[in-house]
Amino acid sequence: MWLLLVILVSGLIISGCVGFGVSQGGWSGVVATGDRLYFGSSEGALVALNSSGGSRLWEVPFETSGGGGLGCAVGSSTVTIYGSPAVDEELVFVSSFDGKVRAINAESGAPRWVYPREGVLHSIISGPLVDQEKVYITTTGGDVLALDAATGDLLWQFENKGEIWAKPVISGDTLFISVFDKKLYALDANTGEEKWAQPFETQGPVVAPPLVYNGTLYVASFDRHIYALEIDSGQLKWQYPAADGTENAPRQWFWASPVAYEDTIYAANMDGQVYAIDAGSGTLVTTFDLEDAISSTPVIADGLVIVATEEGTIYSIDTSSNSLLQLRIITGTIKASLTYSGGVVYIHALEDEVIYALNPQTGLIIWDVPIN
Amino acid sequence: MDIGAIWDLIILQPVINSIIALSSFLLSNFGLAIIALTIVVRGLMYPLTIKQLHATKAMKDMQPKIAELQKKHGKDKQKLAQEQMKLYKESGVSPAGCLVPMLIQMPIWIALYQAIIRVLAINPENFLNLSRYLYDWPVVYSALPLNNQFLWMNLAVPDFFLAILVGLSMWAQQKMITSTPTDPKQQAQGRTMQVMLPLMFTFLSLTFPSGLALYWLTTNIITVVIQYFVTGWGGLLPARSRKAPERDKKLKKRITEVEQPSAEITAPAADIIEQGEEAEDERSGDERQDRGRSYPAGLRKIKRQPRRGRSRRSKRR
Repeated sequence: MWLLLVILVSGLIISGCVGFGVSQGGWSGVVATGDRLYFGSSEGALVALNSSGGSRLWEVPFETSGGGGLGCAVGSSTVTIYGSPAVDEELVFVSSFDGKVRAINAESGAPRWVYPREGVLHSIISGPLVDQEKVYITTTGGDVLALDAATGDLLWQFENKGEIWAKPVISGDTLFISVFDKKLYALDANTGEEKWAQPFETQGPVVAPPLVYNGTLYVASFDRHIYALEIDSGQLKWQYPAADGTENAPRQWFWASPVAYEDTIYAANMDGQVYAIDAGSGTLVTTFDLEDAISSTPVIADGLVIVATEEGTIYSIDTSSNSLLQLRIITGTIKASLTYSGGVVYIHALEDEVIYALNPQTGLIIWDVPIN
Repeated sequence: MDIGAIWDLIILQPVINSIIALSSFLLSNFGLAIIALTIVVRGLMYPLTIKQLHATKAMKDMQPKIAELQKKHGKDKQKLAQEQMKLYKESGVSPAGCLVPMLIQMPIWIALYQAIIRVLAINPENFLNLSRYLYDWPVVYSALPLNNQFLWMNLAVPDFFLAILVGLSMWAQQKMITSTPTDPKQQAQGRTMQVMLPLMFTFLSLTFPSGLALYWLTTNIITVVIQYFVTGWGGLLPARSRKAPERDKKLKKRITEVEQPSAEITAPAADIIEQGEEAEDERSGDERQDRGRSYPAGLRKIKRQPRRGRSRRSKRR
C-alpha cells in the first residue's frame, strides 16, 4: 500500500516539476536582417548569429522569478519565448511568456529598456511588431499595447476580453488583431481605436496573424475555414470551404498563417494538407498532402512555397507546376515560422535545437548550428 | 501501433472529446463538464466500485476468523493457506475482489486526469498538442476555447480553498473506510495513513490546476456517498454520538432468527455468526458502528449457501 502511494505521489510530483503534459520551450522563429539572425532560444535567451556561417555573435539570457510544482526548486527560472523577435535599425525587440517586453541593442546585445519596468503583463505568446517607431504587443490578457520603440513608454492600450496569441499585422495605419475568442479587430495604429463597425467573428479561435494581400485580409481559423475580408470594413468576401462545401474540407485547425503568391493563397493545416485557394474567388485550386501536422507558417522563396511539417520534413511546392517535392528531413520538430532571406531559408528546429540554413532550390543544408 | 497510440485511440481521445462536447452542452462551462464527466464515469464504474467496497468490507469482517486460523495453524504455513482458502471459498469472498475492480478503474482515472490536463491547455505546447486528439465533430471545434472560469476559480491555476476541500473530503473518505485495529502498531499506521494521504492531495491541489482538484473533490464526494450506503459513516462519526442504523436492527433481528432454528441448520452457520458477534463485542465502538449492507451481504451468503449445502450434506450423512 505504501509502495503504491509512494509511486503515485512521486509521479504526480514529477508531473508538477516538468509541467503538465508537454514541456514548455517556446518556438520563436528566426528574424534575418543584414548579415545577422536573431531568435529566442528554448532556454529563454535572445541569440544573435552571423547569417553567413552561423557563428554566435552574442546571447542575452532572460530570467524570471518563480518555480515549478511541489518538490521543485523555487527561485529564478528561464523565460519562454514563443514569438519571433522584431528588429528596427538599432534595436531588437523580444516578448516573453513571463509578460515582459525587452529592447536589446542589436549590435552589442546590451539591454535598452524593459516593459513594464516593475511587475509583469499577462503572458505573451506572440512576437512584437515594430513599425514607424512604435512597438505593438498583444497579451493573453487580451491587451494590445503600443510602446515607443526608443524608450518603451506606453503610447496607448486597447483592452479586449479574449486572449490574444497572434502577432499584430499592420497595413497602412490599420492594425489587425486576431483574437483567441473567435474575433478579428481592426484598430487605428495611432490611437488604438476600433476602425470597423464591429469585429469580424469566426466559429473558432484565431491564433495565426492574418495575411494582407492585394487589399484583402485572409484569416485562418481553428474552425477549419479560411476567410477573405474587405480590409476597410471587415465584410466577408468569401470563405473556404464555402458554407455548403464539405468536399476537400480541412479536417483540422489552421494554426499557421496563410501565405500568398501570384493570386493563390497557400494555407497549411494541422491535418497535413496545404490548401491552394484562388485569392479572388475562394475556390480550391489544389491540395498537397504532406502527411503530418503543419503548425509553422510556410515561406515564399523565389516562386517556391517552402513548408515544414512538425516532424521535421521540409517540402517545396513549385507554384508554376503545382508540384510537391520533398526537400529534406531534419532532426527535431518544427513549430516556428520559417524565414527566407538572401536566397536562404532559416529553420529553428526544436528538441535538439538547431538552426538550419537551407538552400530552397536544392534542399542542401548550407550550415547548421546547435544552440544548446 | 504502439501501446501509447492504442491508449490514446481507445481511451484518451474519447474522454477528451467527451469533456469538450459536454462543456459545450453545459453552458460552455468547463467546471460543470468536469463534474458531469466524473459523475458519468463513476456511474459507469458503480458496479465495480460496489463490488470492491463489499469485498473490502467482507475481508475486513473476516479478520477475526483469519486471526484465529493464524493462531491455530501459525506454524504450518501450508495448512494455514489451505484453511484460509477454504474460509474464503465458504464465505464466498475472493481476496482478488478488492484488487481487480480497483485495477480496472485505474486506467479510467488516469485517462480522466490526462484529459483534464490536456484540455485545460496550461501552455501553448499543450494546446497545440490537443489538436491531435480531437474528433472531426463540429461541436468540438466550436466549443474551443473552453471557459476556465468556474464559480470563483480559474480552473487553470491552483485554488487554495478548493485544495482544502480536497483534503477534507479525502480525510472523510479515509476515515469512513478505515477501522481501528486493536494492535497499537497498526493503529499508529492507520492514523498516519488517514492524515498523510489527505495532506499530500492538499499540497498537490495547491500545485496543480484547480480543474484537476475539482475532479478529485467530485470523485471524493461520490466515493463518500457510495461508502455511506455500503459501510455507513464508519469511523467518521464519534463512537458515542452514533446510533445504530435501522438496517443494523434488522440485521440483529435476522441473526436472532437464524440462531433459533434447528441445530442441524444452525450449528455451522452459527459458528460464523457467533464468532462475528463475539468479535463485535470485543471490538471498539468504531468498528461496531461500521456495519452496513456489506456485513449482512456477507452473512447472507454465509447463511444462504451453507444452509442448502448443509441440508444436502446432512441428508447424505
